[in-house]
Order: sequence, then structure tokens, then C-alpha cells
Amino acid sequence: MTNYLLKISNLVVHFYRYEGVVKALDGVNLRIGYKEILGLVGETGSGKTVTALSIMRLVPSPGKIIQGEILFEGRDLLKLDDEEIRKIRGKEISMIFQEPKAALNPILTVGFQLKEAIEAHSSLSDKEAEDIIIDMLKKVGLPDPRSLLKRYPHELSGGMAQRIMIAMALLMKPKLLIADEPTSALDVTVQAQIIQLIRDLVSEIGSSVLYITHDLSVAAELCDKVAVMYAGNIVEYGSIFDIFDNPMHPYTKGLLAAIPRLGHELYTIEGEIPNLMNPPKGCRFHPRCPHAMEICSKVKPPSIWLNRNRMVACHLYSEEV
Amino acid sequence: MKKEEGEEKAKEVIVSSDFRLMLRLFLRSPTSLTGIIIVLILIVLAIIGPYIAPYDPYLQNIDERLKPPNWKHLCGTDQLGRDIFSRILYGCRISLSIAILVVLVSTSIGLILGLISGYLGGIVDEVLMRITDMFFAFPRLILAMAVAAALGPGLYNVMFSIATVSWPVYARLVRACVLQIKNETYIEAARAIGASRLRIMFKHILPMVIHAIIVQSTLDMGGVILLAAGLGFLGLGAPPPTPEWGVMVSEGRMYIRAQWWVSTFPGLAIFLAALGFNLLGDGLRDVLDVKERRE
Repeated sequence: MTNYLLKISNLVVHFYRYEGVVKALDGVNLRIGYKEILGLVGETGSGKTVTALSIMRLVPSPGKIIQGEILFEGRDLLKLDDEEIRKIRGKEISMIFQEPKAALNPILTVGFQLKEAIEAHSSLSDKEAEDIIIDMLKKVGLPDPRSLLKRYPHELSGGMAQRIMIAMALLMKPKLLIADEPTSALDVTVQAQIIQLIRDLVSEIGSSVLYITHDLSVAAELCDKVAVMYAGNIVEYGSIFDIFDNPMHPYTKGLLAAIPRLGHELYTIEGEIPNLMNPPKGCRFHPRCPHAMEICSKVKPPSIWLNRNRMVACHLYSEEV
Repeated sequence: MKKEEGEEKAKEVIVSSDFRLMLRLFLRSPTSLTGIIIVLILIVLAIIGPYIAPYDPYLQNIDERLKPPNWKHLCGTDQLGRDIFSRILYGCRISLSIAILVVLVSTSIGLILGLISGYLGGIVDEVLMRITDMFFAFPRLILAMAVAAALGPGLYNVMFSIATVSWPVYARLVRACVLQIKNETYIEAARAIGASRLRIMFKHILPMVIHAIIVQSTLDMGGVILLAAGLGFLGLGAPPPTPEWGVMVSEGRMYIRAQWWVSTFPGLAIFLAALGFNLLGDGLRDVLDVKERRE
């Protein structure tokens, strides 16, 4: 089973808050193949970002990874010591954040921060590092990269800052790029450019991508596969065509129906995302599910694999296996 | 909402990085101006004082003892006939070097421990902060007295004892700043590109706390001068012939009723030095602390 770049099994993450334990991830299973773009889709608070941070081992306190396994090329990232995981961050797995301007240190120059990404992993001379950086800045479509190096983050627009973050993330040609809603803080016009840029660059470098978004149309444009997340669980997984043409899980159906269309009334999924301190028993979606059955409130639905690339976690499909 | 916050922060940084604007704001305030003038005069006197002093500060002249201020002796003479004005000029260098050295040492210790404590957290943080608690449990002067008494009189012992009781303030201050900064996205981003802990602490976080350190250490200079004078007054500081201000006040206290000038002039020097640094520190806080400036 080494034909996956990344394989997450049964990942459980809890946040130990003062008010109680937030069960943020409840046994997440996820696979990303080589050179594959996987979209991780779900509402705010469904655990998408926590999943990403777990891969980087950057889950902020009071969060703790309780159990599970994150196999990256066969190595369990959760078993590495601090120095080993540091060497992986930025070099083999790198990450782009939601707020590009907040992700750059306001008092350090762009050049300093870009160079840092190289210095952390190699002992190239300043000149060599600068050449790599300038080359990469050109690739992400930034004009006049040399003068850009001396600028401070406040002098950049959001789009420029995100291009710099992408350049920074790809400097070391990582095998996996995690993009956490990289376009949601940007203008719609810039959004399409950034998505295009990510697609072109990763196919050039040959990286896989975990693309986190709450926007299904963005996922449709970019991704090969999609995993739908709800309240700390992956509820459905499949190729982008399967998910769009033949959604199986009631939540996915709801999400697709909620994409606004001209001339149609907006569809909403009844209710709201559950409080993860005290999640519903059984299937976490059952209080909002139009097809809820008796079993749904008692037993957590298993992940049902219809074929190698198609999974749904719902009792509706229990008999089909 | 979040985006606006980010832009707001970016603007703050533009403003605070504008040195000329800061200088203008600083000089606009009369108290800051007074502070910087006093401190500059002190620094100049510390450098050139020994060259312009009219008399040798150690030279005794029994014929001229306890003379009130006159044109020959601007601040009068003490019980051994030494020129008080010259002694104050020499003392300026002593007090300032104590203040600067103590503040340098205690900020460095506090900075490093505060960074470690705040960034690493956990058990390291607990241990370090409980140690600072132990220091905070005693009044600063009492603890400094105990250390100075244990070490015996002497200028270096004074510095050591004051530094010993001063660093916990900085450790606490830096730790508080670090706790605020370490959850910022850019620190997370720096970790995500594989930057090591040391690098993040010293290259990313340290520059963000430096302004708080500058303000606190300037304010602290006055306190250190007072503390050193206090130890000198109690006989735990510099040994007697040294023209240290606290020692001079102490030596004059027997004559305070009839010969007021013996204690008063060194006392005024202490007062002015402490005042100058406090005004300067306040002024610096007003321009460096962006949050207060917004009003």
C-alpha cells in the first residue's frame, strides 16, 4: 500500500479547553496519491484546518493528537521527533495559509523570509539562495522580483502576498503542498489567477496538493479527488466527477444543492454544525439529515468503500456492500 | 473582519517604522523633551566631568571644611573639605555606569529567559516563572541589600546585587509579549517552513519585543540609580571615599541641620537623574507603544 504519498488513518484530535473537551477530529481517514490534487471540503469548523495542521504537527495547544497514524511515504509523521519533523516541514511538506498578509512577519523583509525557507534546509550561499528565490518569484508571476526582496509585507497587496507565500512554499519543491483556503481572503478576480498558478506550478514540480476549501466550485476547478468533511469526520470521498454527478452522502447532496444558482431559491441545510464538545451520538450528521433512520442516532456509520476510489460513511448504503 | 484587522496591523507597523514621525511626536511633548535634555546632560557630564571638575574629588582640605556654597566651591565643601561639586561630577560617571551596566545585564538575562519561557512554555515556563515569583516575593531594595551585604561593599558587588533583583521584571515582560506574538499566523508560517525554535525566537519574536524592552529599561535606569544610591547610603554600596552620590548623602546626614548643602546637592543629583530617565522612558513609551498613541 505504498502507492499513496500520504495516508491518514483514524486520526483523532481533541482540544482540551477549560469548558470541556472539543472532539475536533473523530477518526479521520484520508489518502493522497502521488501528483494528485485532493480537495478537502466542508463547513467552517468541520476540522479541515486541524487535519492540515496535524499533518504538519502544528496543532496549536490546547489541541492534542490522541491517536491515529499519518504515513508520509511510509514514515509515520506522528512518531518523528521534533528535529525530524522540522526537516520535513517546508522541504517535503509545505503549507500556504488563508491570510497571506498575516502569514508574513510584518517587521522582516520579504527577501529575509524567503531566504529563511531555504536556509532552514540547506547550506546554499546567499547568492545561490537568491537566484533560486528570484527564479521562483518569476514563476509565480511577480514583476521585478529583485526589488521585491527588500520590501516589507505591508507594501504588498493581498494577491502579491499570496504569490509570495506560494513561492515560499514551493522553493524546496515539496512533495506535498497543503493549501488552507488560499483564496478565500482574496478578490474573486485574483482567486482564479491564484488557482491557475497553483495548478501550473504543482504539475511542473510534481507535487501533490491537499487543497482545503469551503467552496465546492473552487474544488471543481482544481481537484482530482474530493473528500467531504463534516464535524470531524470524512463523510464522502471520491473523484471530482463522482462527487458532483453522483453525490451519495446526504450532507454532500445538501452542499451541492446549496451552491447558489441564478433564478433558484437558495437552498440551506437545516440546523447548524454541532457543538463538538458534545457531539450527537452515532452519525454526527443525523440531527440535520433528511433521511435519518433509527440506527443513525445509535451507531457511527462505518466507512463504506464502494471501490478503491469511492467511500461514503452513511447507513443508507450499508446493505450495498 | 479579519482582513481589516490585518490591514490595521500593517498600518501600525508603517507608522511605527517611520522614525521621523516618532521623533517629531517625541519632541512635541515637553516632558519627553525635559527628560532627554536631562539624560543628555548626564551623559555629557559622565564623559567630560572629570576633565571640567575644578578640584580633585579626593583632595581633603581641613581649612576649607563645611564651607557653604560660594564662587570658589559652587556646592560648598564637605566635612573633610572636599569640593562637593567636583565630587558630584565624578559621581555622575559612577552612577551612570552602574545604571547602564545593570540594565544591560538584567535585560539580557531577562530577555533570554523570557523568550525561552514564553516560547517553549510547559514545564520550562513553570520553573522559570516560579523562580521569578521568588524574587518578586521580596521588596527589591531589601533583596538587593541582602545580596550586597553578603558580598560586601564594592562597586561591582553593587551592580551584581542590583542586577540579581532586576532581571525578573524583564523576564516577565518579555514572556508576556512572546505569549501574545507566538500564536500569530506568521510564527506558525515560520514553523511551517521548517524554521528552528532558536531561529523563531531570536529572528522572528525578539525584534517584536525590543520596543517594550527599550521602554522598560529606560524607566528602570532611574530606579537603578536610586537603588544604587540607597545601597550607598546604607553603607552597602561603594566604600566611603568613592564620590558615589548615595555615599555622599549618607556622609552629610550628621550635618544636615547646620550644613544642609553637604547632603542636599548629591541628593538633588540623584533626584534629577531619576527624574530624567523616568521622563525619557515615559516619552519613549508614548511613541513606541502604538496602542496608546492611537488616541
